[in-house]
Amino acid sequence: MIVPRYLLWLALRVAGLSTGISVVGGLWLAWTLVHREFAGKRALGVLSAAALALPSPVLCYYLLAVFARIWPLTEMNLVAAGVVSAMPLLIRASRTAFASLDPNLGKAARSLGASGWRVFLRIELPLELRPILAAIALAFARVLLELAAAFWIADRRP
Amino acid sequence: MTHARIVKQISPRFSLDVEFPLAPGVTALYGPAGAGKTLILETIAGFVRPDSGRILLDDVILFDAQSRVHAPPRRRNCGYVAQHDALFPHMTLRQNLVFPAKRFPRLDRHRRVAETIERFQLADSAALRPHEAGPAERLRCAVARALIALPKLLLIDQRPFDAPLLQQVRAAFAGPILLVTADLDLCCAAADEVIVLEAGRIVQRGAPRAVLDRPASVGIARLLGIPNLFPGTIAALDPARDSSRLDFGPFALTGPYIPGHFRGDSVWVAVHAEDLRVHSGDLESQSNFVSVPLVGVSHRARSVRLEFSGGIFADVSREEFARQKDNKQWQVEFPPGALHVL
Repeated sequence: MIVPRYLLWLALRVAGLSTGISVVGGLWLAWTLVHREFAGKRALGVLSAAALALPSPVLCYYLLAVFARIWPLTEMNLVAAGVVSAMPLLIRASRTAFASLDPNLGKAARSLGASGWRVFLRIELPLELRPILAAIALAFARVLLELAAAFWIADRRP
Repeated sequence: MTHARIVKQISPRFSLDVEFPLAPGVTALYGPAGAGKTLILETIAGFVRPDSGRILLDDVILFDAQSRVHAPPRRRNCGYVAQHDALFPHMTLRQNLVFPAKRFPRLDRHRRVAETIERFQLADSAALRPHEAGPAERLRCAVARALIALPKLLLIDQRPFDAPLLQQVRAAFAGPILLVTADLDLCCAAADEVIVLEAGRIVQRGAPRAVLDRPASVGIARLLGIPNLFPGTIAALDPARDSSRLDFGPFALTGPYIPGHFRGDSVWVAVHAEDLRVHSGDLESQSNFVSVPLVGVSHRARSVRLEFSGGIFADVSREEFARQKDNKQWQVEFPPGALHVL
């Protein structure tokens, strides 16, 4: 089967954009889940894990159904669906990575006058870059896979 | 003024409630595991928020429960050397030193880092990552990194410090140093004051020698590792001769006069193991000599501990033990000045 070039380009664009948005949001949420105490923290953790457990075609079908009903089927809808699909993976992997870091490193950095951002960018991110990069690659692949499923389902809808 | 009043409920069974001023110099926090030593350091550094109290550092309020002031750790000016290695593993030792110096102008930063590397003898290992450097270099780098940020208070949590390194730190830093340690020798050699903690409370504080010589209670004497603790009664008191007679049941000893007590009072007497002297049983028995059988011998790093029946422990040098190890009978001498009535 030959995939039309415009469809391949669309899939790559949507997967890249949704992975990029998911990286920013997912890293922030994962960091918050590890370092901050707030109401609903446990619920948020369970929700992100549950979204990860849903089979891709099921998730795609419902996302498509929901987004297409609210707005017409545009590229931004696909990006939003991709974010919903990639974000749980990134949250899960980054959360595990941040939680495995020695808390003394963060304490030492903060006592040396570093702000939260500086601790994140200079200490936590470089130390956990490998698992985070692996999670980004997986998230990108997952969005691509689910876009393929979404195109297939959309093509066969009555 | 530097002063801390900290109250923190950790669990239904453990709460921290301490108050102490901090003077320039080394203050050692000594106590058993779980006494709250690290918690005090973490509270002052700003990682743990107390339930109530007030922490002042150089007249600046770091925490005040009433006015709800809780300065974040980065604004506290407290150098913190954690119990476990906390050098950034992806940076070289030099980069670890540059990290807190970023806020200084470039030339000043380079000068400070170069001076610190020289002062703490890190020139040979400055280009190494922490896992490539030795433990002593890592410790020196951790202290140097804390000092390069120009703190007003240095907090050191149970690191294997030796007296020369602590003296080096004192030479480089004139402010107060709060040191958590389990090393009483280090307390005596380098600390100006020792605070003894037990179950989240300060049970005694003072000059290290004074605390060791005069523990305030039997519990503190046990905490300080004094093995010879004998319950007895005062048999006689003679203020004119500055002496007393203490009866311990199986044996009686002559000690210094005990002010504030009467004949017949029950007291506890503490004697440091290293203050006792041992002799061969063949020698003529004298005052304060107790003839006891040897029941155990344990070798230590620099001495040998002899255990006699009746719970009497004496530390002797290896040479002394080599000379006397074939004794058939033993006599333990209690010098009157070594008896400390609690």
